[in-house]
Amino acid sequence: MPCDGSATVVQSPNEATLTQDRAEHEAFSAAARSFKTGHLKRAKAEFLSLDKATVRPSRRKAARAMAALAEELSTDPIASSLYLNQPNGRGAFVSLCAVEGIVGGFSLATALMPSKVSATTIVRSVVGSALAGGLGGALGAYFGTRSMVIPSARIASGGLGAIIAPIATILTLQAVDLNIDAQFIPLTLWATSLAGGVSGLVLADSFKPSPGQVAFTSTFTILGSAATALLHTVAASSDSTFSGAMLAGGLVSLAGASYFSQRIDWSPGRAGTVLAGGILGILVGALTNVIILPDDGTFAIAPLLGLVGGTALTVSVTDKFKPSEHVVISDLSVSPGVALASDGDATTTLQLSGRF
Amino acid sequence: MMSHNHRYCMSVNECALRHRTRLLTPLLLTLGLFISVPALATTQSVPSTGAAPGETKDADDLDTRSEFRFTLEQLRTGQYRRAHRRLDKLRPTLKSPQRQQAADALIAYADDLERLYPSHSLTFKSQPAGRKQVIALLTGLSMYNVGALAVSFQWNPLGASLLVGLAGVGGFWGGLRLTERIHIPDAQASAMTYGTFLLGVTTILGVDADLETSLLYSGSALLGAGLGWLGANYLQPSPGQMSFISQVTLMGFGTSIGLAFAFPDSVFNEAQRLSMNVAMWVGAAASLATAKWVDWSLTRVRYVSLSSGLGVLLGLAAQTLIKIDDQAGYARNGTIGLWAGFALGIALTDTLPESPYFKDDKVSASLTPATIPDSVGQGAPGFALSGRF
Repeated sequence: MPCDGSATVVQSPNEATLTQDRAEHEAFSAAARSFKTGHLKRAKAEFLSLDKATVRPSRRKAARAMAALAEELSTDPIASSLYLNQPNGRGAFVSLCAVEGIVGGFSLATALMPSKVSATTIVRSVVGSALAGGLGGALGAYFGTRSMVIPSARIASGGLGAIIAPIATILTLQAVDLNIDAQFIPLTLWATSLAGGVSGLVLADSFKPSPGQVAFTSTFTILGSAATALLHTVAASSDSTFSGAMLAGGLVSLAGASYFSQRIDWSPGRAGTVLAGGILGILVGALTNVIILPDDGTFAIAPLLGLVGGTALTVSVTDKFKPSEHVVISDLSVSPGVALASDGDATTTLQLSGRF
Repeated sequence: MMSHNHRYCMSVNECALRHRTRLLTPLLLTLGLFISVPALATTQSVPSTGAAPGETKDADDLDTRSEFRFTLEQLRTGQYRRAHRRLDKLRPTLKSPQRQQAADALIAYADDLERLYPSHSLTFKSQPAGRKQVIALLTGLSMYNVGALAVSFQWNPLGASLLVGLAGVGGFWGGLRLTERIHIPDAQASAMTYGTFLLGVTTILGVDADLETSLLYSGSALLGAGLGWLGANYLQPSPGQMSFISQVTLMGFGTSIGLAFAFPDSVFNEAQRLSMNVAMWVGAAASLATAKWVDWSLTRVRYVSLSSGLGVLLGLAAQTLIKIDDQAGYARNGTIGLWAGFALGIALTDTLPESPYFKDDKVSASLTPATIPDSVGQGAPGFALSGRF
C-alpha cells in the first residue's frame, strides 16, 4: 500500500486490457467527433496518434484510413467548415415557417377584411387563412429543403430576428407616437417579423456563428432588456420614456451581445443555464420585496440586484461546462509587443490577443 | 352584371370579402414557398444523409461524407451492426480508393467492436447530457414542494414567499452540481420530467384539491421523477423513444380532453376526470409497449409533433367553416385532426435517418418454408429458422 494511505486498485490482466481498450475506443470516438464537426486537421492528428498507440489491428487500420480520409477532405471548404457541419436545424426551420405562415395568413385576412361583415364571416376567413398559411409554410419549408442540412445556428438566428423585429417595431411606434390603423397592425408586425427573420438568416451566413453564440446573443438580449425595464422603473418618473428606453436598451444589448458572442465558446446549454440563473435572480428579488414591502419605483431595486447577481453567479459556476465543439477560439494571451507612437518612435508595450 | 354567386351575398362588403378570400387562398398556399425562399436563396447548406426517393444522390461526394459521419456516430454510440449494414450499402457506390479503404477498415472495426462489446453498453451512456432538463426540473420541484409545505402547514405568507424563492435557488444550484458530477443521459432526464408529469397529473385528476392534498401532489411528482430515473436506467431508451412516449401519452390525454368537450355539460366531473386519467394511461402503456421498435430520431419526433399540432388546427378550422357554434364538432374534428396529423407525419418522415442512440439489440429471426434433407437423401417439406440471435 502506498505510504500516503491511499488504496491501490489492482486490476487483473484482462480487466486492464479491457480498460485500455475502452480508453482507446473513447479516443477513436473523440477523433470521430472532430471529423464529424469539421475539425479535420485535428481529426487527422488524433487518428494518427491513435494509429501509433493502439494495439488492436482493426482499430489501427481504421484510424489510419480515417486519417487519410480527413487529410483528403481537409482541402474541401464544405467538409472542413465548422459552420456547415453543425447539427441540422431543418426541423426548427419548418416550425418557424409554419408559425410565420399562420401569423401571415391571420394578418393578411385581417388587413383585407371589409368593415361591415358578420362576425361568423370574420372568424371563418381569419381561421381559414391562418390555417392555409400555416400549412403552406410547413409543407413549403419541408419539401423545399428536403435534401438539405441547414446549420442550426442559422435557424436560431432567423428565429431571433423574427421575434426581435416586431417587438422593436412596436416600441418604435410607441416611442415616436405613430398610430397605425388597428386593422393593419398585425400585417405590419408580420412583415417586420419576416424581414427580421430573413435578416437573421442572411447575417448568420455572413458571421457563421455557432449555436452557442446565437444562444449567448439571445440570452444577453433578454437579460439586457429586462435590466433596462427594471432600471427605468427605478430611475424614471414618467412612463412616456419607457418605450424609447426599452428600444435603446434592447438594441444596445443585442449589439453588445452579438459583438461579444464572436469571442465566446459557450455551448447552448451554458447560455440557457445563465438565462435561467438571471430569471431566477429576478424572481428571488421580487419575492424578497414581499418582506421589504418597498414604495414607489424602489420595488424594482431588489429584482435588478437579483438579475445582476443571478447572472454573474451563473456565469461563474457554469465555467466548467464543456465548450462548444462548433467554434475555435484561441486562448487569451498577453505578450510583449512594440507600439508605434505618433512621432514614429517605437515604444515597448503589452499586446492582448485571443479569447476574452 | 352581377354573377350568379352574388345572389347569396349578404351585403356588398360580403361579396367583396368572398372575392378577396377566393384570391387569398391560393395566395396563402404559395406563401409558404415564399417564406422558405430565404433558406433556398442563400444556400450554404449541404445535402442530408436521407435523400428523398427519386432524388439524385451524388454518391461519391457530399452524401458520402454525411454517410461516413453518421457511421462514425453509430460506432461511437455502440450501434455496430447498423454501422456495418450502412457501410455495406455505401461501399459499392464509392469510387475513390481512399474512401473504399476507409469503408472496409470501418466495417472490420465495427465487427471487431461487436465481438468485444456485444451488449451495446455504450449506447445509452453516449447520449448527450440532459443537463438543462434536470436543472429546470429540480428548480421547479423544489419551489413547488416548499410552496406545498407552506400551503399545507399554513405558514406566514411573507416568509413562505421568500422560502419558495430560496428553494428555487437551492434546486438550481443542486441541479448544477449534480449534473457536474453525474452524466445524466438526455433520455433519462426526459424520463424524469415525464414521470413527474404523468404521476402529477394523475393525482391532480384523481384527487379533489384542498389544503391537505397539496402535499400529495408534491409527493406524487417527486415519486414520478424518481420512477422516471429508475425506469430509464432499466429500459435505456433513446432520446427519440422518450419523446415518442411523451408524445403518445399527451395524445391520449388530448383525446380525452376532446371527448370531455364533446359532452359540454359534464366537463371535469368525476367520471370525466377518470376517463381522462384512463386515456392518458392507455396512451402511456401503448407507447411504452411499442417504443422498443421505434428508432426515430428527435428530429423525426418533432416533425410528427408539428404535423399532429397542424392536424388539430386543421380539424378546428374545418369545424369553423362547417358550423361555428358546435362545441362537440370542434372536439370531434380536433381529435380526428390530431390522429390524422400524427399518421401523416409518420408517413411523410419515413425517409429520415434513424436515431444514432437506438439500441438495436433485439433478436431478428424469420421462419420460412424450406426443404429439409432426410436420412435417405430425399427432401421433405419443413420450416427453416434463420436470422440473428
